[in-house]
Amino acid sequence: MRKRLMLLGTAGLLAVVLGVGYAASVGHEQPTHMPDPAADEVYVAGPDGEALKCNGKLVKVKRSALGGQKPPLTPDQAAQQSVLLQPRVKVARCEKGAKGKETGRAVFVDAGTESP
Amino acid sequence: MRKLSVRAALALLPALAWLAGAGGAEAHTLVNSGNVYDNGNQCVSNWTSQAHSYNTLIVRSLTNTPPYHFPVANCSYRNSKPSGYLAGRWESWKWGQNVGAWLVCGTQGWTYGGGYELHVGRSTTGCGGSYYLLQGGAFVYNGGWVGGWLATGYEWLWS
Repeated sequence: MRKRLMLLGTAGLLAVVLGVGYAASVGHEQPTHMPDPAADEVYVAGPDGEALKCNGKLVKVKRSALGGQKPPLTPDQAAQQSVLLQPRVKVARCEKGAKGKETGRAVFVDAGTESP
Repeated sequence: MRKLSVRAALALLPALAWLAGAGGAEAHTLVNSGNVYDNGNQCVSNWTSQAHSYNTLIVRSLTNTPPYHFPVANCSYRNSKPSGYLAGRWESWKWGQNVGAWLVCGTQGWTYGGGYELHVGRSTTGCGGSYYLLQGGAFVYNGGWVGGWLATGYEWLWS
């Protein structure tokens, strides 16, 4: 009797562990397409990691605001910059006007320095 | 007998946990690399990699022309450049399930350097669990900026 119960318990444990693993593997919605490298405007993630909304509306930003497709500086201009410090990661946040009200546009700021 | 069964069940636990993990979307390194520009004399190699949430881009300036009397070989030899002649930038993209579109999670501005190789690497600011991919742009100045972008495949990340 005890042996049967032990086998039953082990089988149950196996089913739970495999079930959790299977659920983890199929529970995420797969992307339906790849990013379009030719797109002029793109969605950006906000502070919560979801698509950024400003004034309650989803916003898109120009690809050029991300830094552009080609380097903007000439080698002479670039050589003037410090090569010891790499730029910080930039993240998108809602632009705020003079009275702290969102303008509806997105801006890129250094990660870790953005205000909530 | 009972103790033996309990021990056997306990011994099985790590293996079962590993099986469960293997069934899930396990993070690993995604790489896309290749020459994104080649005019015979000047080549630009792009190595874009997403390792968990650490993003790396390597720009290499290469040439067909060998030093000394080595044989000519396609984009195989170092072609060192002055400071400011190599540039790279990456963008981390997250799949936004709520909008059914890719979102830019973060980007590092253009980094410039010299020599024949430039490394640009940094962790992404986490944007929450989802599928992520990395796009990297590698450029060398050769009378104008030449090069191109590559994108890795995507994988599920929890950060």
